[in-house]
Amino acid sequence: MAVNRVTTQDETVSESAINLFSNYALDGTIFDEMFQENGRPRLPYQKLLQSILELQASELTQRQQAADLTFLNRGITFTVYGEDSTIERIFPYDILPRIISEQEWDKIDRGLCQRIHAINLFLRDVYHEGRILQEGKVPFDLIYSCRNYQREMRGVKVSNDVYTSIVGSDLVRLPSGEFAVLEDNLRVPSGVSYMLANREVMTQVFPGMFGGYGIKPIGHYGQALLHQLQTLTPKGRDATIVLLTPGIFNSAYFEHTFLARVMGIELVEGADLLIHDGFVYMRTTSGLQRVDVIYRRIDDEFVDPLHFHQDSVLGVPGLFNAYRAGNITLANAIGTGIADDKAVYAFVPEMIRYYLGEEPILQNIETYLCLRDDERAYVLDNLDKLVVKAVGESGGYGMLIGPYSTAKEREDFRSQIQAEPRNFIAQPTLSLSRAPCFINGNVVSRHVDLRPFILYGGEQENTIIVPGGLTRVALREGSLVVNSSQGGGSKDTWVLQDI
Amino acid sequence: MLSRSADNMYWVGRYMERSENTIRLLRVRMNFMVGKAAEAGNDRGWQQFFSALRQPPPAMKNGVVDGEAALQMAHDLTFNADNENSVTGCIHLARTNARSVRSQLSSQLWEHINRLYLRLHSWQNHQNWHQERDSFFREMESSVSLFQGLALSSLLHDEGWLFIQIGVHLERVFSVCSLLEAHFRHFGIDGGNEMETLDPLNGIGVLRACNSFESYCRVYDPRPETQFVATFLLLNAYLPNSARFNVNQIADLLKQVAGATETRRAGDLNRIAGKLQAHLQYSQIDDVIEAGPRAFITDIMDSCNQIHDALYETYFNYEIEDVFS
Repeated sequence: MAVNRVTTQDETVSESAINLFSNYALDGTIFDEMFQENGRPRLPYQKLLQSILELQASELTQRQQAADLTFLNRGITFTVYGEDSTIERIFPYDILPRIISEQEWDKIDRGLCQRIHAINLFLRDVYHEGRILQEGKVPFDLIYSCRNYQREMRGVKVSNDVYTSIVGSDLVRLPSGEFAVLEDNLRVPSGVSYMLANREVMTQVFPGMFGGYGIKPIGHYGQALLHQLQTLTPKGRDATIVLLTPGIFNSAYFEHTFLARVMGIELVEGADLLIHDGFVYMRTTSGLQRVDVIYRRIDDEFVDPLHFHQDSVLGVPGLFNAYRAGNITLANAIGTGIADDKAVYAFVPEMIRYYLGEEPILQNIETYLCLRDDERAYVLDNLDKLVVKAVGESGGYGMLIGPYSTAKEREDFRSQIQAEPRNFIAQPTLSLSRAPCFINGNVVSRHVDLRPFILYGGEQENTIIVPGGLTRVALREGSLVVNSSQGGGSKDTWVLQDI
Repeated sequence: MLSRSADNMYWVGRYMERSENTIRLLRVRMNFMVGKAAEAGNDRGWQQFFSALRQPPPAMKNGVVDGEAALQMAHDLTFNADNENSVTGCIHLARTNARSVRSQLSSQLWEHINRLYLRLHSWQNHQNWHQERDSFFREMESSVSLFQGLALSSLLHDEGWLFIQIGVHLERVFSVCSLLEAHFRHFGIDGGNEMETLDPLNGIGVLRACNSFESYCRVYDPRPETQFVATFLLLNAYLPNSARFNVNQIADLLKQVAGATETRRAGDLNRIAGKLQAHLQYSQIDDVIEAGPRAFITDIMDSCNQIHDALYETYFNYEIEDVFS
């Protein structure tokens, strides 16, 4: 189904405008963000479609180029680790926004607040009494065999009992149109700066477009983040907060500088910090200054070479002891990775029921644990239909997409699964929803996901989610991989105010 | 401010200024070449040029400088990123340092440095660079100057700005001293220990390379004499490229930094800077002649190196033990 099925209410649009959509594919088994199955635009997209049709393809191309140039000049780039050198690239950006209605957003918002609250209660429980384990709701061995379980965190009092305050969960839209959670990023989620930059660039290249839509603003993310970090310490607004980055060669370095700038805090590297008598200081031109909160963008294993990776030069020797003594707050806490392990993920709905006594508002994707004999047998029999994921990997690595795999790849995974069942889970191959993208002079449909950014404050009520998030796009035709390291791009995400 | 950030700011200033100096020397040198390739004095000119930029001497062929090779070296001095005195090398390093303090620079300033970097890359692939090099140098020169203007107008004039300025002025003292030193070494009589030089016309090149020829004409007259050129570039209080002018700025900036950081460690640093400032303020041309021009210039550079070291000991990399004792 294509072209002629896409219709507009305004029958007077020019031929050339209609040609823009001549390669636009609709497929009943995949949810299309813009069009209903009958080819008519969905309500939130009607206005956008009119705007697109009033423009010429050449105008869209010009604006796309203007947007690319803005990203390049601003140095909004990420680093690609190439074979022989590291290069900076702009994050590919699509100029057509992705639109979400207020009603849809409301459900996402409530669902994520509920989910992240339960996850934090789970983390507290797992590192203290372990009630949920004793009651058999989550298997013991699943937790203790997890690479991201940090034994040292047992019994450690975490500020306000907030383990993971800065979260980015990945949502996908199923063929039914319902949003479901694909994974939670509870350690050091990235991408929020692209969400903010996308909006900024969008307002520059389409200044006229924003007027009539009633788009919910997202610009307050920086203030909200600073506020959440301040609540983690009794010093509040007087606290010295720093952002700890691995340095300029990190792929997310742009984001680190961006966030430090919008919050007006120091961007530090490990070598700028030192521990003296159990307290953390940074070396400044005026002498040493005490630090109260570290928003760290370094993984657990690298924060302290004395406790974790000994050869890490990114972290601060002695930091973990200062942390355990309660002299420094880390956001996020150490050890949160236990809850975004891809196998533990399967138990999040159970956590919501157990701790909150509520039914999950947002669904999980059906997940098979290779750890369990019967489920593993099913997975091994259906490798060609399922997506298999290594539990500890991210960024689209360590993944087998069954329907697109070769026999050799499947055999490869088969032996890996049999060798280390705990390390693998499988999920049905999802048909992620598709949204319109402007590529090479045509509007075409590409698979998208959504990463909203959640700032958890200790309760569901004081959790802040800026409306929208980062919509990632698999720019290659047919591709389901949205990661920036593997041909993914992004687009601005609008949540509309009900008018 | 973080010590590392101060360190980065300082080097942003130094590398931007160094790139400007290299660009100007290249432009002056290349323009001078036009139509004069075979003339006497050209050899010394090349030698002076490379030694002023702290480069190895040019290759010789049949007893004279190999012009082709020298031109190739000039091209490398423009685009070879591995050479940290080349224009590209300086801009890369300035940008890397700026990236490290990206969160403390204004967006205008950062974007300007980033665009300059991208421009340089597009010139690098330019087919007819040699034909269009004059417009290239002019574009680069004004772009680098604009950096100073944006720093002045868009940055908070706090410590970060002060450290950028210290870097700029210190680098400028090194540039003018290296250039004069090379002038006396290659054109001087008796190895540059006397005030006389072989080719007074080269004085015009020196002044142009310091952007000071027009100013010189207003103060003296258009026929440069070596002793006036040296006095002007070393001791003039109002010339923005003179050693004295920049040392005055440095001494003043260092006092401001000491005030802003309320540190008690700055004593040594301010003493070295103050001493050099007084030395230049109260020296006359007779003192330069008495010491010998090259020795006089080398002394200034030594003091500047001490200032550089003391900056590290005071602000960037002080001993932690000192703080807790």
